[in-house]
Amino acid sequence: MKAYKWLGFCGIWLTGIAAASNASHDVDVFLAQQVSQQLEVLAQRIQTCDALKDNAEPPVLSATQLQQWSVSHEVLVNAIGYLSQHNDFQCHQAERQAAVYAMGAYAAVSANADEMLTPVSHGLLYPSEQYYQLMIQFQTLPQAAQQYLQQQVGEAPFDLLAAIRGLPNASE
Amino acid sequence: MANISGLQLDQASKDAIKRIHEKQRLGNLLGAALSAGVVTNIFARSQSWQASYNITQTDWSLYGQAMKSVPVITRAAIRKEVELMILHYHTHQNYRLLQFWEGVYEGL
Repeated sequence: MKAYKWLGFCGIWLTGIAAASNASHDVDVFLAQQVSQQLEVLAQRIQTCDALKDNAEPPVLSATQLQQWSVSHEVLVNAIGYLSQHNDFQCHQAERQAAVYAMGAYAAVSANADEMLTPVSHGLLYPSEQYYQLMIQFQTLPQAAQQYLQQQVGEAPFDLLAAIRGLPNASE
Repeated sequence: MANISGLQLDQASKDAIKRIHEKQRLGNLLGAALSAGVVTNIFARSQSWQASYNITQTDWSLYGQAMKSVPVITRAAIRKEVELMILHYHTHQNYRLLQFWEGVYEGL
């Protein structure tokens, strides 16, 4: 009985794909494989970046240094939050772009893939609106403060929670 | 992680949980979308035993790889959302909800 249900499910899938896809079968399968491969590469890279993050020392910031730019604690927390996400995105930037490209290439020739994969790439692979808000807030800091924070955190991924817990209270 | 009793979620937390559910749904959708290539291949070539065997060697292994990779990618996207909530409650000094989201973060 279960097998019949499964076959029925597959039949529905096939009907939907055949109706919606304007790509030939071989192209459809080839592009789906390309997406699978790129996602596998991306997943491996994310795991590598996570391992780097787990082993990273939290950044050390000087309250005295921060006081000269009058950076509030709230702005400092958001700046560290931005840099944490920025470094993480940078760590798997190339692999993410390759995955997004593979999904876009599939979506470009298959209406079905476009309908299914485009929301996925938007929801899972691109930075959120809040990330860009943090970036814009970071860019309003004095140039010297931006450089100081970037130098202290470096370019590698780091653990956000550990970094926030180690922050000095700059407003004191 | 410490016990949290009587926690009341505010609108920002409720919205974040909705976004996390959406990312989980998209992760599932991604798995389904990638399985489409495998399923079409099997049905299109099922008349030939040899062709079916070849599919097992190629498509299913790729499908298996894709299925393994999806949870990693979904979890990474969810972690970004949780980080934003930690920043939100840190800057808004809501320590109960901060504690909640820190617990979520540490469990990822």
